[in-house]
Amino acid sequence: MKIFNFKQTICATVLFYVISFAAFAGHWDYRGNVGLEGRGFVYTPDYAAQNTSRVTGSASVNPEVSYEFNADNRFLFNVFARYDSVDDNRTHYDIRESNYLYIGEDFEITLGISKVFWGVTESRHLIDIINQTDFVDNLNGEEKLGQAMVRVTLLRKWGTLGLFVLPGFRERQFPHSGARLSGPVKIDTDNSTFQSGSKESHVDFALRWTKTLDAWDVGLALFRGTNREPYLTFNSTNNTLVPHYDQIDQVSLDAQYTGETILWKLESIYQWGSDDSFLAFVGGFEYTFYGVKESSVDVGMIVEYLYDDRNFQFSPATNANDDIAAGVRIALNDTQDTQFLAVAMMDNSDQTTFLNIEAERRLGNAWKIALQGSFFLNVASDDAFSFIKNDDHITANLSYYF
Amino acid sequence: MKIQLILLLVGSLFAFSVCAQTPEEKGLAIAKSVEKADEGWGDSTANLNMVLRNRQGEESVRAIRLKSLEVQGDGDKSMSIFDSPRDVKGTAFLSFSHAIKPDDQWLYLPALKRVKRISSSNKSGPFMGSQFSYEDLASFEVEKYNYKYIRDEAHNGINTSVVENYPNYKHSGYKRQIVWLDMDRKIPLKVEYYDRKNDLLKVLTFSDYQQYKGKFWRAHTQSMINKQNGKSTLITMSDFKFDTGLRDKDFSKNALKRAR
Repeated sequence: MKIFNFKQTICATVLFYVISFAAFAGHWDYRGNVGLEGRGFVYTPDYAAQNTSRVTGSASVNPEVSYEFNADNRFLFNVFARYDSVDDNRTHYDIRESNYLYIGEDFEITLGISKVFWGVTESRHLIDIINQTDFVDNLNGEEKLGQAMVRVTLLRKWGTLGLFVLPGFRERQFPHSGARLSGPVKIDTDNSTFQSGSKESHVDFALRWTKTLDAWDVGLALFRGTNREPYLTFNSTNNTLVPHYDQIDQVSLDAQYTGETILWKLESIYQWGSDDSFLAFVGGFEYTFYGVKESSVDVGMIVEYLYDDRNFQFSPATNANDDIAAGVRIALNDTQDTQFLAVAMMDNSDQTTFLNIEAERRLGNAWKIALQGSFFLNVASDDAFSFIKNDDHITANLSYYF
Repeated sequence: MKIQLILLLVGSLFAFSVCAQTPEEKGLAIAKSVEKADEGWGDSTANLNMVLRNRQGEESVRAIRLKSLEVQGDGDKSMSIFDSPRDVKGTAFLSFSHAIKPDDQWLYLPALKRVKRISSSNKSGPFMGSQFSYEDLASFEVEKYNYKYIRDEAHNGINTSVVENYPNYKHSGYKRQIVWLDMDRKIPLKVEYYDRKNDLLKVLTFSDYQQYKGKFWRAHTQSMINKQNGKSTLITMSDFKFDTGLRDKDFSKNALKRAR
């Protein structure tokens, strides 16, 4: 199991204590959650190496501490840890945040490990490139690993400009070969290769401009550095897949038009690396019926088209090359904030479909129950999903917030 | 003699014009005077506590920190940071309100670190599951309604003017509101909300008014009772502070992302 870079962890912890001890007048804040999770797989495993138990258990903790020296200076620390009864790679911890933030008159500086989200669409987070995705934790791509950074944000009349210097690349983690969702071949993350000679120490750069123009929210970004997505090469000696990380340049555009009942969304990238250059985009809308039949229930319809013309021979494979995503979002707007989201993403050429269903509801004032179902339907034999086509599962999560 | 005649003429003309003021004109004049009385408050912060009660008397609590900025010639800007319930702690809501055109609203989801621009067409939707809808909590702008003065009457021993408000903006859940206004302090004491079918839906009572900066009145208690479903919500405001130094940059998408 590969955990967080040891040196970074020590640095972050030391920085945290130095700053906290130096401080004597300010404001401490603690918050977070602990969760218990049960996961049930619909079918028995396809591969001999995989654990045969169809029900797995897991526990997680995610505390956050912040110290506000004053309105302009703040330190934030957030760590996530999970224990999984079967998947040794899912048993992991990660420092999501450990940073100092300075808020100036028309600029801000973030120093340390942090998390950044870019984008507007629902079915794929295409332009969101700063943080590595924590796929071991959740297939939905919304869990991210903390990324060390120096971030300067300039707040100007012409928009907000973010400058990022990103030292210390975080490799993508995969389910353990003894666990479900791992596929037939072990992914050997201990022997990952890099195009850059400085390997995971390569310093990446990014630039992002955003602006709100009436009903439009637009963003442009530039990234130069290590691809967050690895290309998997087969090593026939060890019978393993070895991740390879290219150096890439990427420009991206994101835009949302907020209408009265409709949101139009677009994310697009153009990426060029050593052997491939390609265009990809996700675009579509979310239409909401507010207060259906004089009730307080909102029902939203999501439709997005996904396109990606990368060459799988040279670039990391994707499932979203020519797909339609369609979904429904229901918010009861009740006291317990009951919500429901179902999105199906279907490949236009072979009709392979990934269906993700999420439902959540608060219990009392501090508990929340969440259900998530992930299903692989109608999977074509040559689709990337075919390796996990029988790993359909339902996850139930009970969390306590403090 | 001539001067007296002219005075008489002018006087009666004036009296005539006042008498001839239609209920609509008088209602509008009252609304303008209420808006004018609250001009110049600048910026403020406050804590908002909400107790939601259902018909069985079960309670649920919401705690929100509010930051507000007055915008001359347009609706105000506000940032709400949620502290309770605990699963939404750190969620923040930024709103640029406008009189007629839709408000600009963004929601910050701390778990994903994601800022989402959201549509403001949910005006009639419940705010955090409470009996207050978004439009009930929006800043007051004269242009939002058409008015009709009804009568003057004593309300709990206070002289009030009773005015009907008809929403001008789209997506309102109401056909009309009846407002009891204390014309000495230029503040509302009670509002009756009528749904689109013109049936009485909710009654809001303001109390515990305190004056700030020697001029601006703020209600510390707002009680909303839904007459159709028996549910109620009690808002208690505390720690009002004015001239806190909040500025435009504190009401931006960027400020939303670091709200805590």
